[in-house]
Amino acid sequence: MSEIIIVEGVVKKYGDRAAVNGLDLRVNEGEIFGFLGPNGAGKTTTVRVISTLTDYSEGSVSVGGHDILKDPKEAKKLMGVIQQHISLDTDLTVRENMMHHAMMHKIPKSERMRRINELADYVGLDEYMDKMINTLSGGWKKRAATVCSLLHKPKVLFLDEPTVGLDVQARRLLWDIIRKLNDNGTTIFLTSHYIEEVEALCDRVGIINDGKLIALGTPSELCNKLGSTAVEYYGADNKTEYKYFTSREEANEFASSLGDVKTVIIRNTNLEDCFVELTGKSVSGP
Amino acid sequence: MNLKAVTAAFKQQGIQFLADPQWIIPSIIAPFMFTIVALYMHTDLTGPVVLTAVLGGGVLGMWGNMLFASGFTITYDRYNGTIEPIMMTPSHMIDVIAGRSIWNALIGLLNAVLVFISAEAIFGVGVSLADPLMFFAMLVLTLFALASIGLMLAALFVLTRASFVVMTILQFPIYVFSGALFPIQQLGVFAPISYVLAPTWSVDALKIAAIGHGDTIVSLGLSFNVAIAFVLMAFYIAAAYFLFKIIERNIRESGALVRY
Repeated sequence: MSEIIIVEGVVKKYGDRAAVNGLDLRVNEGEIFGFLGPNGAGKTTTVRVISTLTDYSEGSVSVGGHDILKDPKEAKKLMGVIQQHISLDTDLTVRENMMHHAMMHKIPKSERMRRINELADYVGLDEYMDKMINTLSGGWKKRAATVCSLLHKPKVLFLDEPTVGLDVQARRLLWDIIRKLNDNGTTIFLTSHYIEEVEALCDRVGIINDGKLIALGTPSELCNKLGSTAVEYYGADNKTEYKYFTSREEANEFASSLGDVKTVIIRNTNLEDCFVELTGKSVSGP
Repeated sequence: MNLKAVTAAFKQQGIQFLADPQWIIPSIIAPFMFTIVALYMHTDLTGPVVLTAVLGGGVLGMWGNMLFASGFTITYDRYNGTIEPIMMTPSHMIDVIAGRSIWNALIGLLNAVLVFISAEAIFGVGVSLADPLMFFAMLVLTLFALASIGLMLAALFVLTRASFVVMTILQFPIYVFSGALFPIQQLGVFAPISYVLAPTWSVDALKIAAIGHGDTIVSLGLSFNVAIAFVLMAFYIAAAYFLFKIIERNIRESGALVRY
C-alpha cells in the first residue's frame, strides 16, 4: 500500500511555543486515518500545515509525491479540506457557492454542472441547491461544504472536527458519507476529539499530544497495548479508577479482590481508555 | 492568471453587491448627495466651477466605491471564513482581487456616468465637453487610477481589524488631494502630496478633455498626464503585489488567515 501523505520531522512554532514538535507521520492511500488529541495538542495545526494553509519551521511534507513547498499547486489539486468552521459564502446560494469553488479549481465549464449535480445527489442536497447558505442547518451546511471540497476530485479529504455542533442524526449521516467516499477510493484524514467517531470510522489512529505523535496503530492495536479488558470501579473515595488486564480472568480476579466499592464494571478496553492513559497520565501527568 | 478564477470572483462580487444593500450608501447615495450639495453651492456659477462640482460628485462616487470595495475585498473573506478555501485552490489571491476589482470598477464607472447624467437632467448644469470621447477615456483612466490605490490599500486592510475605520478616514483625503474638489494649487504647501497620487493626473486629464486645460502646476498636456498616471499606477500595482506576497507569507507563518 503506497503512502499518500508523508510528514517528516515537522516543527511549527508560534513564537516560542511549538504547536507541532518534530512530527513524523505517514498515511496510506485509501485508508481512513484518525488523528486524535486533546484541545491544543496540535491536530488542527497539523492539518493546516499539510493542506498548505500554515507554513512550518522545519521538516518536510509531501502529498501524493509532491512536496507542498516546492510544488504546492500539484499538491493542492490532490487535497480537499472540510474545515471545523463553516467556510461558505453566506451571501450566495448553495449552488452559487459550489459554482464558485468549481471555477476557482479551474474545472471546465462543460463538467461543472454535471459534477455539482452528481455530488449534490451523492450527499442528498438536491432540494436545497437554490437556498441561501444562512437558511440551512449545521448538518446541511456541512454537506454543502463537503460537496465544495470534493468538486475537484481530491485523492485525500481532510476533515477537521467535522461533526462538532451537529446533532446525532446529522453526525451519523456525515459518517455514512465519509464511509461512502472512502469506499470509492478517497483517503480520509480525520481529526476529532469524539473518540467514538474515530473508533467507528478509522482504520488507523494517531494520537498527538503537545505537538508530538505519541501513539500510532489500529484502534485494536492501541487498545491491546493497555490490555484487552478494563475494570472500571467507583470506590469509597468517590473517584472512578481504571485498571487494564490482558485477559478477562485476570480482570475478574482483580474485581473480586476489591473491597469497599460502590460500582464495578468489567468491559473491553476502548480507544478512550487508551487516549486518557496516553494523554492524561503517561504523557501529560495526572 | 486564471481567467476562470477572475470570472468567479467577478460574479461573486456582483452577487454580494446586489445581495447586501449597505453598499448602496457609499456607492450610490453618498456621491449623489455630494453632487446635489455642490451644485446648490455653485448655483450662480458656470464653467470650470460647475465642472468641478459635477466631477467631484463623479470622482467621489468612484473613489467611495473603490475604497469600500477594496477594503472589504479580503476582510469579507476573513469574516466569513472563506479565505482559506480560496487559498487551498490552485488559483492565486491576485486572481480573486482582480475579478472583484473589475466589478467594482464597473460599478464606479456606472456611478460616475449617472452623476453626470443626473446633473444635467435634474439641475440642467451639464458640462459641455471639448472632447467627449477623450473625456470618457479619461474617466476610465481615473477609475483605474483610483482602483490601483484601492488595490494597494486592500493589502494593508488585511493587517488591521479596524479596516472600516481606516476606510472611512481615507475617503476624503484622496478626494481633496486629487484635485477633484478644488484646484490643487489651493492646497499650498500640501500640493506635493497631490503629485504622487495617480488620480491627480487623471482628474486633471479629465478637465483637459472637458474644457481644454487642467489645474496642475506642471501641465504639459494630456499625454503627459496620462503617462504620469500610468507610471504611478504601475507603482501602486507593483506595491500591492509585493504587499500581498508579504502579507500572505506572514499570515501563513502566523496561521492567522481567519482572525475574527
